[in-house]
Amino acid sequence: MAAATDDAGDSNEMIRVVSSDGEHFEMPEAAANLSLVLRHMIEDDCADAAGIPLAVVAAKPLAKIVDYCTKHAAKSSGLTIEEAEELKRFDAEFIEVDTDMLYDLLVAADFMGVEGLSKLAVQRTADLIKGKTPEQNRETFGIVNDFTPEEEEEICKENEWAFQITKPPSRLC
Amino acid sequence: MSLPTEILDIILARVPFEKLVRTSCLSRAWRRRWESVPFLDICFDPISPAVPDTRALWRCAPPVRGFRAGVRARHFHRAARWLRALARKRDCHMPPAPRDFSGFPNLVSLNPSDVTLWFDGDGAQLERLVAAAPRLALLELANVFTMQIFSDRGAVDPWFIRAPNLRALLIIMPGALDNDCRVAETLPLLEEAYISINGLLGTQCFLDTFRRIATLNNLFFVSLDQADDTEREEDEIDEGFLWALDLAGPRAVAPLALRPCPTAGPDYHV
Repeated sequence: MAAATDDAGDSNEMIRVVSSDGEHFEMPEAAANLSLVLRHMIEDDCADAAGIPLAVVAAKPLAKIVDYCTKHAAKSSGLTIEEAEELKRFDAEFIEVDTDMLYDLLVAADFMGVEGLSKLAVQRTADLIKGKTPEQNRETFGIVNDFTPEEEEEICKENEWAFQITKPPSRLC
Repeated sequence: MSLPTEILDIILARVPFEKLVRTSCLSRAWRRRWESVPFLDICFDPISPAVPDTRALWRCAPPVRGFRAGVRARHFHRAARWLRALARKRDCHMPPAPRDFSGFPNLVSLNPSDVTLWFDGDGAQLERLVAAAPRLALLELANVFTMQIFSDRGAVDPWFIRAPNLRALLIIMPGALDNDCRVAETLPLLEEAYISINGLLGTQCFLDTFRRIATLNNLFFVSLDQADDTEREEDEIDEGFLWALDLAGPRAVAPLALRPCPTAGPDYHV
């Protein structure tokens, strides 16, 4: 299961990586370089035919990350406005994932040091939280409300100002 | 959420402050979670009906990365408290209000604009802030109000500018009012000044102000016409920048008496 290589840019060298559950992936060196960890390992000649083992990244998120890096490496420098827009669209679509995958991407991107993807996943999660009512947030993130109704009321009172209804985002923020 | 603490911190720091505080009602584990998120970029929106109380700022984790607040007039009194709370958050670059604040030793430019010195002693605090910044080169006091301006004037409670390294000074007193700001001593390195102090016209303080800035090269002296509150611009002097010599009227005597020794003083004449 290899990532698309047709838009891989100038680098011909393919880097092999192995997920925690033993699946092999390939991506161009330029794409692998977007990961700090992979870049350092390539620099230290640890990239061989057997592939770089990524002990904490499972195949599912790794496939996504390989996609992400391959796309971004191919379009990394000298972007036209259209290409930048296209990349933005790619990111927006890319990060439309369920919360399990979002968690996996957050952890994996952090571990692998893929800065752009980390930012993308962090912002996506923050957006999810801020756009929801407490009840929706509990549902999305699997949080069980273990307050008694009295406690809940007390907390709302404690931070009363924050629970007032807010209008749509303003110009200031 | 089963995310590592560090990652969750980064995420939560990107959630708007009031939404972050709202996570306190999710569950017991979340009740105080928001209080441990460092590097918050707090933005108080004047349009939002949620007016944060100061306790929330006291409780959020240091350091605070950023703080912006649009303050509605009726909540202005909270701003001082917000700053006091933020001053305790390490690494926060807000001008702190506590009395024992030792100042910004490396500050080179200070420009409070449209600021009201609301409480007694606020002027003295600004004075201390200026005095505690030995490297201060640019000071701009545009429309700094004191509360006395809005009430019947009692005794003048002056606050002084002491800044031996000041190169440029701007003082615009609001309207024809005196905000009690005084130049305490000669500013030996001053090169440029923009002065509008109608409120002092005809007083000894007016004279003193000019004496103490006598070494400068460029002076913009602006007198606002009190009747229609517009800026008048008249003679332009060779060295360039003396404007708006609106000194006609009974008080004109005071500035005319100022004319200093032409060799050492600024190149201006009336």
